[in-house]
Amino acid sequence: MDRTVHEEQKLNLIEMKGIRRDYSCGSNLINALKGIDLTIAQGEFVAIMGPSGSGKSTLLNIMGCLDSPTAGTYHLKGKNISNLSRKEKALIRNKAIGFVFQAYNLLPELNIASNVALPLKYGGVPKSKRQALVNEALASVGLEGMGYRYPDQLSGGQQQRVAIARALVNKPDIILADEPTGNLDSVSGQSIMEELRRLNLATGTTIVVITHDSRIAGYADRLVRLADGRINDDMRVKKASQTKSTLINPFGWPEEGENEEIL
Amino acid sequence: MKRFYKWLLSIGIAFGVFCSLIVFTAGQTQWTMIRLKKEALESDKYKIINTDNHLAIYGMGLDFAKQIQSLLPEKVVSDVMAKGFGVAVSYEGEPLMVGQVVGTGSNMAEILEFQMIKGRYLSPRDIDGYEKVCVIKSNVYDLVRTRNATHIDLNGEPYEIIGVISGDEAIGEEDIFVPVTTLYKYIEKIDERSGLIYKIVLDRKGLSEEYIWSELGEKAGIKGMDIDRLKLLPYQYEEASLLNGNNAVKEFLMIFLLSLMVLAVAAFNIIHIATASIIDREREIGLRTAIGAKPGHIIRQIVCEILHCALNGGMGGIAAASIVNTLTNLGLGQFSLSFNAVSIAAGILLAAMTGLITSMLPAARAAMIDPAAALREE
Repeated sequence: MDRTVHEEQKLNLIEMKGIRRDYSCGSNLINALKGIDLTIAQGEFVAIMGPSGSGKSTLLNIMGCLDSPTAGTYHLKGKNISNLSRKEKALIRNKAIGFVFQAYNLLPELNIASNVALPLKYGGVPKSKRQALVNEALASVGLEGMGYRYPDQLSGGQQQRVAIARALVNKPDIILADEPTGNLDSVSGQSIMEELRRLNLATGTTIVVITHDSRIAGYADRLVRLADGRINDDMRVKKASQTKSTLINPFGWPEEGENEEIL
Repeated sequence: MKRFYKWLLSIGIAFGVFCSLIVFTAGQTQWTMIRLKKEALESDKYKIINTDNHLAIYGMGLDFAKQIQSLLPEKVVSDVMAKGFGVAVSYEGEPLMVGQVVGTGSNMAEILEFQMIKGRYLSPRDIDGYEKVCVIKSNVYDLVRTRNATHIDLNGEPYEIIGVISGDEAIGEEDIFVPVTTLYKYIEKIDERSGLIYKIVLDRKGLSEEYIWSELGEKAGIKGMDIDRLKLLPYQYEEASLLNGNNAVKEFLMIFLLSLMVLAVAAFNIIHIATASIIDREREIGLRTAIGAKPGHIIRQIVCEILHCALNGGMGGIAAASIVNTLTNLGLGQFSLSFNAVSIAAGILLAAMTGLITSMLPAARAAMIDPAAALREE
């Protein structure tokens, strides 16, 4: 890895200036974020690392319009979203942001296709058009033809792929992934990271991954380190060689199939 | 929503609808009575028998009554009222109630005291002809009105309904009037004729009680009859209860309030169950919000889910109330409820309204869930 100075990107997707987030816990005031300045350009693959309590998830929640900063300004696609209503934030989350969570967060009573279709439903996409978009999203993560299954019929890795398909289905500008491999074994984790990397390269979707695993961070172009609510480091990740094979498996994890999960 | 909560909600609403329907149906019966009485009081046809001109001799067998009748002064018009007990009333094989059948004679005193609402009174021709016709009280009519009935079955034999008279407070008593001759004929079959004679009603047409008594006593003495056991009393009827509509209105209002209380308790429980289900689903709702559900989406979803449970529960409540109603009418006889299409419509409306109103608070709570907090902990 090599520390670099950020070059000016053609479009800044995320611009955060002086972001603070304070929580009250009884009589104590907890400063989760203490003035974050962060800019992420369109098409970047950014890993945010830091120890527990460093403010990673708080930062991701603010990025994803799930939470509001106590102070500072946040522009997403040039739009100041600090003071938007719940309804407006919901619209932005639906159209511009895709979420991937550590626990997949699929709804067990819905089948895979219905899970993936949820953002389309909330986005007002007509029913007639949803099926094609769902199929396309499932195919993009290698789960074509599995829409009729239910989450409990899939392995952890497959469930996370469904979550990625759900995040992708509205063709968002950015995917925010919070410890996406945290519940997976190393093979499935590798596969998920490869999937995200491939999507980033193929579609130019900006991806921000939160992790405390340095191997995961190895898939990113850029690594932001947080500590105690502040950015400690912001650096470009230098790959050993920019070939496809090293890009998708920089740490030489076992190849897919060597340790297949049982469905 | 988890199946457990769906069941709990449906059962809660079913219970509320069931209780309310039972109370509502009783209220509906009560309301019908109020309406019929009001119609009776407002009608010009209402005829009140002058009790000053009527006397009754109580308790004797038929043969003795016939003898007494023959001894009465000529100006006294008498009528032997026979009363049958425990007669099963049904409509096309469907049991309605166990009612009282009164055999009515030529002066028809017991019918004429009540307002004719529909059709006609019995006539001497019916009595002379042993016709199988009947005049029913409004509480009996209430059981058959939705069936457009032209007849009811008494002990398995069809009797044409020729008239409906307004009922009184004593539901189930003296409900069906048939020609006394027809009743005798029936009683002869079962050999209980003498035991069922109830009273002789006398229309004395201005004659004094003392005069009737002396005439009767003299003739009876000549014939050697013992009439000491007889009592001559003013003929009583229930004009007071017929005219007193206020009590019925009060009873109806009490029933209505009771129904509201049952619903309020059910609604309170439903809100609690629905709120518990929302707390249990915070993560799911947080996720839905995270992926773009607006507050309106969440509210709509929760309302629809609760409404769905409410309608399911409502159907269950209606079915249970219908069964209990049928069993009640079959088993108790004297307590009859008019469960009909209005009851079913009221049940569905009640369930829908309960679901809609009780879902508001949980839905609003769900819409306010902070997605970041809901998704924070695994």
